[in-house]
Amino acid sequence: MYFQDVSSLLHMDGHGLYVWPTYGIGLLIIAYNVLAPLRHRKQVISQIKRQIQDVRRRGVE
Amino acid sequence: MSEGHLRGRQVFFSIIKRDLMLAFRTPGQVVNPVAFYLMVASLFPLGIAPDKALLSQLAGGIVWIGALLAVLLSLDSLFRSDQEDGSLDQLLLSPHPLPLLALAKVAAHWLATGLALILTAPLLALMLHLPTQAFPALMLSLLLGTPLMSLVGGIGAALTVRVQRGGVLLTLLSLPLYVPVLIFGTGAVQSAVDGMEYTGHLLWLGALLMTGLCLAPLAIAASLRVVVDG
Amino acid sequence: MNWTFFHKLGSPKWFYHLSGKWLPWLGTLAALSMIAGLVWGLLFAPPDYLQGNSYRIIFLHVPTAFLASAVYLMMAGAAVVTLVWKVKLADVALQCMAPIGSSFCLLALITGAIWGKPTWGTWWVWDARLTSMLILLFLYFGVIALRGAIRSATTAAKACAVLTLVGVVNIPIIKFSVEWWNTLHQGATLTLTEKPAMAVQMLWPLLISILGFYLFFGAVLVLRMRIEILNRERRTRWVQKLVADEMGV
Repeated sequence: MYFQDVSSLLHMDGHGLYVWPTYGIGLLIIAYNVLAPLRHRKQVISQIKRQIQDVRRRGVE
Repeated sequence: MSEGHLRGRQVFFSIIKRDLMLAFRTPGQVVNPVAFYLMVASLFPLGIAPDKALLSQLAGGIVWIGALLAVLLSLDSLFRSDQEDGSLDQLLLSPHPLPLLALAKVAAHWLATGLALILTAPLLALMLHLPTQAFPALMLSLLLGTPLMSLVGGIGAALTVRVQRGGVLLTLLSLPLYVPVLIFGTGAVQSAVDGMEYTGHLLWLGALLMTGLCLAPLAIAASLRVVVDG
Repeated sequence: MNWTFFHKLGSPKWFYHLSGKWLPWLGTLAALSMIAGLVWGLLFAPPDYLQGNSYRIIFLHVPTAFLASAVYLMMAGAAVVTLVWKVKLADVALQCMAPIGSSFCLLALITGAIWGKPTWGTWWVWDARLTSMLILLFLYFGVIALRGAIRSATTAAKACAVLTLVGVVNIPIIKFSVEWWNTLHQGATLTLTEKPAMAVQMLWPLLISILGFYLFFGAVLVLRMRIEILNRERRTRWVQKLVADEMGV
């Protein structure tokens, strides 16, 4: 590791203020790209499930 | 309807004539963009400062941006009224090539709005203290730029013609495409202000206009077919 | 030449099942390279002689900037396939690529802006690359907005394809005019994103990051496409069976 300890890692000779929030935002956008489709998937699956249940219920009646 | 077989050129001019007649029948369609142009350009000294030196530096950009916004605003009327009364469907059923008809509509649109804006521009340039040596550059750049903006904007107008309240979407789609036109147009004016050659900028605008004249009608026709036939 | 492979490739069902097998591998590979590249660059690479430690933003900025442009080009490719060969899967790809590409474009702009502060003293600088990237973001927004505005799915597909192609034709014109505008107003100064010759210890993590982000794009795209396929094909028997099996009934 280039940095001696955690505090110098966070501080980065004063540039830590720029580097770490940037990586934080990067992480957020990466997370969005993974989580948004997963949430959409849940929505779609539950919609289809409801649709199947409706059909079955109507078939029984 | 007409019995004889109309040639393409006759159809072209008859569409222009029809659209111009319709445009002048509702004077708002011609006057409103000009009024908007005057008002928007007046906002800049009001919002920034009436300082002559400052304004004369900004004048080229303001006159150009005002014209750009006025064209954008007027584009919504390019196809919408035809869409509403059914003539758009007729246009698509016509045996004549759709790009030709699209070009005719854009030409009529420019004659009704772009031309009026070009004629208003010197007044605005005067009010904003544009140095007099830049006036020819301003007029020429607008002469080349406004038809180009009508052409490119026509693509967005075609894509959004069936969208409810598609006016804002139309501006969203067209603005990125207007950036090169704006850059070369204001570049010409700025060069003239600095006393330098501006023919290069005009040639670039001319080249873009030629490309637009060839390609935009095709894109407009494709967009209309996609959106209307579905 | 076995054309059946290409026909199969266009089938949503076949794509769904095949991608299901490969997605875990793709995702793991993407995660590994991204983590490797970013951790290496963030923690292990030496600081830059001129910029100090703030240059580490490059490991985020460059991959996302590359991808922002590359994704739009891929969208144009998908648009051509949609319009010419009318392959439905191509439109699914077009629809799914747009939000990913625009999020990368946004990230490229944000990282570029923040990088500007310690380097040039301002939060935003109108240099050619950043300005072009901003306009690219507007082009992305346009395609996404058009998709949302048109009700009919088939019309929306073709309209977005046309718009994407109009955009891609304009991108070189826009880039050229913005670069030219920039030289007029700023002279020949080193731009923010211009990369001087990089030391090997900085180049390797950068390359690995770029690879990681491309793989990540691939993985997330496949993920989104699978879900969109389920969404569009929900009335078909294979989807109904798939969901019913998941319900365990």
